[in-house]
Amino acid sequence: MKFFPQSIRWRVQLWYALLLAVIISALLVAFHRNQRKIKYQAIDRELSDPITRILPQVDKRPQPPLRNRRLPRPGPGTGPARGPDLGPGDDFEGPINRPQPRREEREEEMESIAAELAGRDVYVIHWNRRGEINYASANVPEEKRQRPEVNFEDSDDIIKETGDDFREVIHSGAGGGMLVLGKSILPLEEELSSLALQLALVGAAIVGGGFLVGWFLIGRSLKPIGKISGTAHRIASGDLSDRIPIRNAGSELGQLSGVLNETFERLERSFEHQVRFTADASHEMRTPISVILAKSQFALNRERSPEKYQECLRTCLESAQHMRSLTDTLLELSKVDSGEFILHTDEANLADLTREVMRMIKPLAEEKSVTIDCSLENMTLAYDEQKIRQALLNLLGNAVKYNRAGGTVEVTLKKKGREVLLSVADTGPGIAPENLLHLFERFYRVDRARKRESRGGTGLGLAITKAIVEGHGGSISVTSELGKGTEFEVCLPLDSKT
Amino acid sequence: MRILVVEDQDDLREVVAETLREESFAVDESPDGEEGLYKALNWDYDLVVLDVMMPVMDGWEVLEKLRKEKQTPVLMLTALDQVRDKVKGLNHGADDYLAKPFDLAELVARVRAVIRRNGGEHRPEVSVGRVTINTTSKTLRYNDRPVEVTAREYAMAELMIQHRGEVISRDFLYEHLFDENDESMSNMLDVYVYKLRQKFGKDFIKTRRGQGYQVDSL
Repeated sequence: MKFFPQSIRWRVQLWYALLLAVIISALLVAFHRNQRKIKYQAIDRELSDPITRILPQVDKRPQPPLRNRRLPRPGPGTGPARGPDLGPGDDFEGPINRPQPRREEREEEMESIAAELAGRDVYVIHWNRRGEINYASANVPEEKRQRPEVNFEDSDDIIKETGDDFREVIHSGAGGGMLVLGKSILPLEEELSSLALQLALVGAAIVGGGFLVGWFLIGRSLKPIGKISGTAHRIASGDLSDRIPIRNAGSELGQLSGVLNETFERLERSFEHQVRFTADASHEMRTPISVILAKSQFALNRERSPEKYQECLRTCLESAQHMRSLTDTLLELSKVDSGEFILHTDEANLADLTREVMRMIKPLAEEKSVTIDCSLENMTLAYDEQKIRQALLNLLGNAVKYNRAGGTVEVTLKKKGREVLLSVADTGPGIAPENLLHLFERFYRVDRARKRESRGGTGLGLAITKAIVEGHGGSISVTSELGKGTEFEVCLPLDSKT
Repeated sequence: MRILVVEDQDDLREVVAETLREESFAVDESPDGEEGLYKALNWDYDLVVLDVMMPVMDGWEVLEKLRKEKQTPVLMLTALDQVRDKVKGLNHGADDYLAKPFDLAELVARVRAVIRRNGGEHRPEVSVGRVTINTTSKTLRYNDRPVEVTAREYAMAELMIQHRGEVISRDFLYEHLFDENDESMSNMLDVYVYKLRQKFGKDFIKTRRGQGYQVDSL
């Protein structure tokens, strides 16, 4: 993994972990608060329940009916809390209707209640209306022997947390006395903090586990990206034949890999094409240079006869001329490529031009005893005479050059709808289908086995012919049958606007 | 020394062949790979100058097929001068590599170097007895004095010195001294042997009756 703010894995991972941590801690905090609330409710109930039992024991006078007496509402809050209204039907009138117990009985009863409460760490203390301690259980802490200053307002019970360590229920008797039940909350708080610690540990474990699982999951889903970038890297450094292995073609990354592989495929093909073009071009260019260099060095090596000098110079001249036609054609093709291929069109009869080209080719045809047949329809259209002548020369020249001895070349020119069809068919050996595809490529030689004429074509003829025809808004196609012959068909628009 | 030049470009092949002939090599020519391979397999050339881009069979193929049967030294000539191609050529068993366009002088120097290396000789100057040959300047000296020789005489002396210590048959001499177009009669060999003995002493070339000739290795 790279420096993490840049790594998708780390970023996803961090967000994921953060989210998980927030959710888990929110849940755990809520759980902890709830636990705390429940525990305090239990304590409050524990403290307020005995009140009704204690009051008759500590108050010597008959008790007034505890009308509207409210049960304290327990809660973890620190301020005075109000209990729920129990309604008039729930009055505690029991003690009043019963006969007053005797004092000893009361004290005995009180002691037993206190003992029971002490068993639960609850202390009891009662002040009479004069503020004197009327009763205090043995476990009252020293600091709690002070009568608390409490404003009762309209409530009889007040739940109070005093200091940090105690929780008390303070009940004001009707006679002005005050009953306090209290309990240390230290054990509870201790219990709660140990619960908090446990929850924190559980939370950390969940977040940590989630992080690991997430790491694994993200890692697994990002693995193809690693492969993709690895492959792209190898391709960038030169191995164009490499491809991304696709395991799950349906997934997003699988689709991406498929698209990338297609791209790499095309890249490789165009690169191979480029390499082949460069190799061919360099071969075509270097051969005449080699001849000129070697021939002139040979001539200069020692004194030679005038005939030898002449022969050397002639060879050099021919090679230079070949190079000139090569560079001219290449230059023209580069103009095509850069969109600077300019046509100078004029209205003229295409049949006339075709006949002219046929006349130019005739000597070559006679040399190979090839006959040229034609059926030409007169038609006038706008075209660049010089360029179309060049294209026709190429087509007819090829038809003659690659014909068998005694073969024929058939040239037809006819109108078809808004188009002009010009076809040149020969009776040569034909071209294999796999070569037809590349026929119009620069420097492509149909049959590398064929002996090149020593100062023959440049290998650019059909490429430039195609460029010329397309420059006129037309198209060129080829059909061929091995052993029978090849036919080129040029299609030009009659109302050419380009 | 007999060399085969395989190159499809007629002008280039002719000028290379002619230049090598002027350097007193016997030179055969082939306009394509197939014929070139046939010749290379059927004659023992001292070197094959092989073009890479050729019709019928390209240089790589010729080299590969030739190497399956023979270790004839090969100098590749090609328009592809990228390092990759050079490495490919050398890995396929080419002995040297020259990119087009090349200087004739460099071609000749490399041809000599390859032939020399192939004969196990790395120095351009070798002495046998009182005779010293310099393959770079193509001169012969006897007792440290330059001796005028014709191209054929030089070629024969060079061949015999290269194979010094071995018994050289008349056929071998004939094959390596005359190219396929040469109409010389085989008794021309006797003439050259006679002339070399005249110029470098009777003992320079010994006759092994029924086997051929021998130049002592000392």
